[in-house]
Amino acid sequence: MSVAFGTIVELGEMLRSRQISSVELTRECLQRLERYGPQLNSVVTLMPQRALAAAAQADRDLAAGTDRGPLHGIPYGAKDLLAAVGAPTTWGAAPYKTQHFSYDAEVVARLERAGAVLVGKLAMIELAGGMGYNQADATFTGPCKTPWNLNYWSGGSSSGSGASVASGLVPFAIGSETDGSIMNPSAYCGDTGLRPTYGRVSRFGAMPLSWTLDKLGPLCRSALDAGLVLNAIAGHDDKDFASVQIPVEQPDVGTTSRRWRMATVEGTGQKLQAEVARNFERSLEVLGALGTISHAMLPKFPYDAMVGAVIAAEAASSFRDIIQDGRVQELRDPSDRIGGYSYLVVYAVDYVDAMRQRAALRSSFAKLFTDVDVLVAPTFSTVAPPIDIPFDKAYPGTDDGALITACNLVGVPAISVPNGIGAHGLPTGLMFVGRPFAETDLVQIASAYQARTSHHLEHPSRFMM
Amino acid sequence: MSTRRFFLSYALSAAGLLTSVSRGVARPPGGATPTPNPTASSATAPSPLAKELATSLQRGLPNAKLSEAITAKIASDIQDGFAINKAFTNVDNKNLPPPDFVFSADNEHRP
Repeated sequence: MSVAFGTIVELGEMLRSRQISSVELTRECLQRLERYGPQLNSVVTLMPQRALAAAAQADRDLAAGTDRGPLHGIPYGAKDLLAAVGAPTTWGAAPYKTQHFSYDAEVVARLERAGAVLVGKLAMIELAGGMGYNQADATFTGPCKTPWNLNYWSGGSSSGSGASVASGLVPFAIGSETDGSIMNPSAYCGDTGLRPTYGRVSRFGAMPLSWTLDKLGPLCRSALDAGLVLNAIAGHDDKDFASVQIPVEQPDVGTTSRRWRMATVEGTGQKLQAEVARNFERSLEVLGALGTISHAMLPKFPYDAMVGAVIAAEAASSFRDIIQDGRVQELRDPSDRIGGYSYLVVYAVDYVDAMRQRAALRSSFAKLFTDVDVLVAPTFSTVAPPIDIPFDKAYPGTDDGALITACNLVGVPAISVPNGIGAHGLPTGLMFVGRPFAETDLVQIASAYQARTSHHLEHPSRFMM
Repeated sequence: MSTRRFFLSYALSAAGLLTSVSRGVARPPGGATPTPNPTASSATAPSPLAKELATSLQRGLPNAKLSEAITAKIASDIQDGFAINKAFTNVDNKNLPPPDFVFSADNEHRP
């Protein structure tokens, strides 16, 4: 097995059997990040000093019999919207290129307590896309590329997290999602990405874009790995007003005989690229062995207006300073440079009504999950778009539908797993959506899918050296 | 992901007001945001109200040094934003629950 593409579980076994040390593993990641990061535009800052010190400590602890759990000694990367001592936290945006914090984000602190080793800060779309980008080149680090084909985008806004995991630069990474930013790079890069329930993971120390939508979660190489990382980062934190006190259950992977009640979502299977549709149909054939598959209707709500009002109002508040003083015009994407100004004149009543609609939507989703354990859908309707074409011009006639936005408005969890190869040799994604705080369900069913398929074991050949 | 532009094209084409933008246009992927796209916005002529709001921003935010060209783009963007308002206008919201904002009078008793 290549160390570069090992899962957390596999690497953990190697660490504990002394086949490799955390320092050696960390050096390997640092070297690969240094070598391949510039090709992908996936890295902002390497943190060799902090990483090697943490890895050495992890090795000493293991030698002394102290095992902090599954992540002990495992390197990882953090989206550059997470504060971390020892490196700038740029939020992917020119106005914040030299920004430093004197503390670690709660997620970074929890991972450190779990023995994980932070090796670097990974590229992201400027301000997590908060000002409304329309092209891959919407970050001061340049367009991040999917390792499957360097002419195509990695997805965003957790771009570097997606590309770095898929290219074997780090075993896992932390990303964030406000409205699709974990699911998107997971699908476009062929990662397994988990978006936790809103409130499950503390956002303290993370760039606030939209307080009522923002979530943090892992991008990994398997569903089981995603469950392990979630376990380490989840839990109540007084420093985040939305944080909840609901324990994460350990997924019972591999031994469950549960019959799943799955449902496809009406409308999300339309306007797909042919290869995406084909891979989805094949996925349903696999899933058919795991339970029943019915059809569900997505409740009718003005999803785009809702998310538009919420993000505009909250992002304008969050970034009011750089909008007002003009620094927002230093952003890379022309759309980003002007987006914040129109946010300033969003009607307050529209924001309030959007929030009222969200409360109603929550009830509708509760009903939806009465007879269904998980929703299943293609993560996106297309493969990654080219890096040199505005997104809205890349694949005319396709439509991602409203599922991801609806789920983000409600705050329910989702996991995206690779389910095949589509156009241009690029991966496609399969998404499972669960009830609030039912991440364990998602890890279990995604693991069952991955036990029956090998898409998550395929890697881009260019990076397998 | 969700984009104001997509929403606008959907809403306006559904209303028969904008035929030049396909309903089936791909939503800009991966973003966390409505996407005010200046190219797309050029299909929508800004109304006098949108222009006035943009001009008031230009006047009210002198430090931003908004040029005439930028202000014109902002006006188009504001015009796009009106589609969000339109989606909530004349919608019966009497039976909707209150917004899920939580405010407490002191920090000790926050839910």
